Amino acid sequence: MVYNLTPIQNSESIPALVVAADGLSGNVLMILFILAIFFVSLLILKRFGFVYAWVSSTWGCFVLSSILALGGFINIIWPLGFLAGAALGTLYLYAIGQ
Amino acid sequence: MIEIKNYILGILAFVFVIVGGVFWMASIYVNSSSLTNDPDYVAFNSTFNKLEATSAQVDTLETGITQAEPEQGLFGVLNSLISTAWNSLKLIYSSFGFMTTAYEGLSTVFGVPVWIPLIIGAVVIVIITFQIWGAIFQR
Repeated sequence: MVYNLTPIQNSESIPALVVAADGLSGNVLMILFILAIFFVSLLILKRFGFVYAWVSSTWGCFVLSSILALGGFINIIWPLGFLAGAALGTLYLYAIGQ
Repeated sequence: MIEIKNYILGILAFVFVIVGGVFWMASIYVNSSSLTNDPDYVAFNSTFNKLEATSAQVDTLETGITQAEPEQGLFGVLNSLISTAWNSLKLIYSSFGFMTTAYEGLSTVFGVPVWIPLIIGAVVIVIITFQIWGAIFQR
C-alpha cells in the first residue's frame, strides 16, 4: 500500500502535523485520542464509584469531543453519544436514590 | 430499588443534562451552519428536548391548586385536590412515555436494536407499577 505523505511533508508545525496525521488516518487519530482520555479518566475516577466515574468522564469527554467536532476532526455522533451516556448515568444515580 | 420520587427527579435531571449539553453545543457552534444541518443532531435534539412539554404538565398541576374556589364550599377545594392528584398520576405515566420516547431516540440516533430500549422501558414501567400496587395494598 502506498501512502501519500505530502501533507506531512508540507506541515511546518506540530499542530499542523497532528492535523495532517488525523486527515491521513481518516479521523481515527482523534477518535482514539478522545477514547483514550475517556477510559483513562474512567479508570482514574473509579475509586469514587463506577457510576460517578462514568458520569464525570462522559460529561468531560462530551465537552472535549464537541470542541473537536466543531473543528471537524470527529463526527458529531461522538459528542452526542457522550452526552447520552452522561444523561443516562445521571438518571441511574437519581433512580437508585444517591 | 427504584422509588417513584427519585425516578421523577432523575427524569428531570436527565432532561436538564440533555438541554444543558445541547445548549453548550449550540453556544460553541453558533457561527457554524454545519450543526443545524446535521441530521443526527436534529434527530437527537427533537427526541430528547422535552423540557417544554414537562413544564406544561407541571403547570397543569399548579393551576389545579391555584384555581380552587372556596366559594363553592368544601367540595370545590376537595375536587381540585382530587383532580390535582389525578393529574400528578397522569404526569408520572407521561414521564414513563417520555422515557420510552427517549430510549427509542437512542435507537434512532445511535443504531441500537429497537428491542433493547423497548425492554428497558418495559422493565422500568413494570417496576414502578408493582411499587404503586405495593404502596396501595401494603404488600
